[in-house]
Amino acid sequence: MKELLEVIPGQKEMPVPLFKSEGDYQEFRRSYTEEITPELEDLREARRQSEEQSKKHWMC
Amino acid sequence: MTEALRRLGFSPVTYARDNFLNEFDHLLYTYVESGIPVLAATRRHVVVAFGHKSEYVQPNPLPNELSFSSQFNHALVVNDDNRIPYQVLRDKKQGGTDESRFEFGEIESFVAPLAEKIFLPAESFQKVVTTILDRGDVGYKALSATLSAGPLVLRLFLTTARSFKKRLDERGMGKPIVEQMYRNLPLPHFVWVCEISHMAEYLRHMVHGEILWDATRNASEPDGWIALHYPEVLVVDMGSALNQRQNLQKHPLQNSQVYPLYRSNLTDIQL
Repeated sequence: MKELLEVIPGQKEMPVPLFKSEGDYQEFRRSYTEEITPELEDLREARRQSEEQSKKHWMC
Repeated sequence: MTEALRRLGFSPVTYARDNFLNEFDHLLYTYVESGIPVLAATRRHVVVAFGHKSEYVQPNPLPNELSFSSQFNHALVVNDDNRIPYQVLRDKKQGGTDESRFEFGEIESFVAPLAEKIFLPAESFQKVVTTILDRGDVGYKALSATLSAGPLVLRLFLTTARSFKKRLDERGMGKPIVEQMYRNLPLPHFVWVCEISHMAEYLRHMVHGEILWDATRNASEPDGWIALHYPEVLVVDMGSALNQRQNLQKHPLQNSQVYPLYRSNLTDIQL
């Protein structure tokens, strides 16, 4: 049995799941990852290049 | 510099102006706002930036849907080992006696020495929150009539869970249930916070809500999502705190109030 973490002891009104079904939740995860990944990769590359440039600048 | 920081146990992240263009000054400000002393490099010298000077006046014209608190920033407080301490490094030099010999545009790169366990850099967190806020299912337009009423000002900062929790009581968090929820929720050691406000409230240093994200996790999966607080709803992950799979639960809220923004990473200079 899954138990909810009781963060408000004695709370009368129980929280409800954010997503109506497991399918909705999995779709959220899929679309989130799909949307965010390309830009995160670009940002990672920008930082990698920044570090490389910085290294070159301060080593010479 | 970065190698020296690594050997001291930090995870340094480096940003060059050429690679981050319009985001560069904003990201530098975001780390300073997080209380992280940033090594700011000009062509031939490095200064340490550890504070900022911001002027909280309404911009004209008003920014679009989403803007950041860095828009109010016009100077950094720095230590330059060749000069007296606590110099002001402005966006444009004005010639004051306390002024740095550099201005924003002369900073070519910076290094933020993050704690070893922090895997989520500022720009990734920014992408995460703007994605969440913009979504049709959990975004502010879907879940919050209050926030949808005007353009939002977002303030991003990194802090520790301990420090965040320490100030819950004095801030009130808009509703007692929110304060209680955050207090009892097990949090990771480092969290990224995005405070959400409207311009009028932000100028009074008040906020409507926030998004909390685990700074020790990668951004590409949504498992780092800890909480989302809009005036009408509080969403909390009840699962990860118990080392179980993510379990996002929604609590409806009514009659939420605005509350003071978080202050701990930096404090006002006492004159």
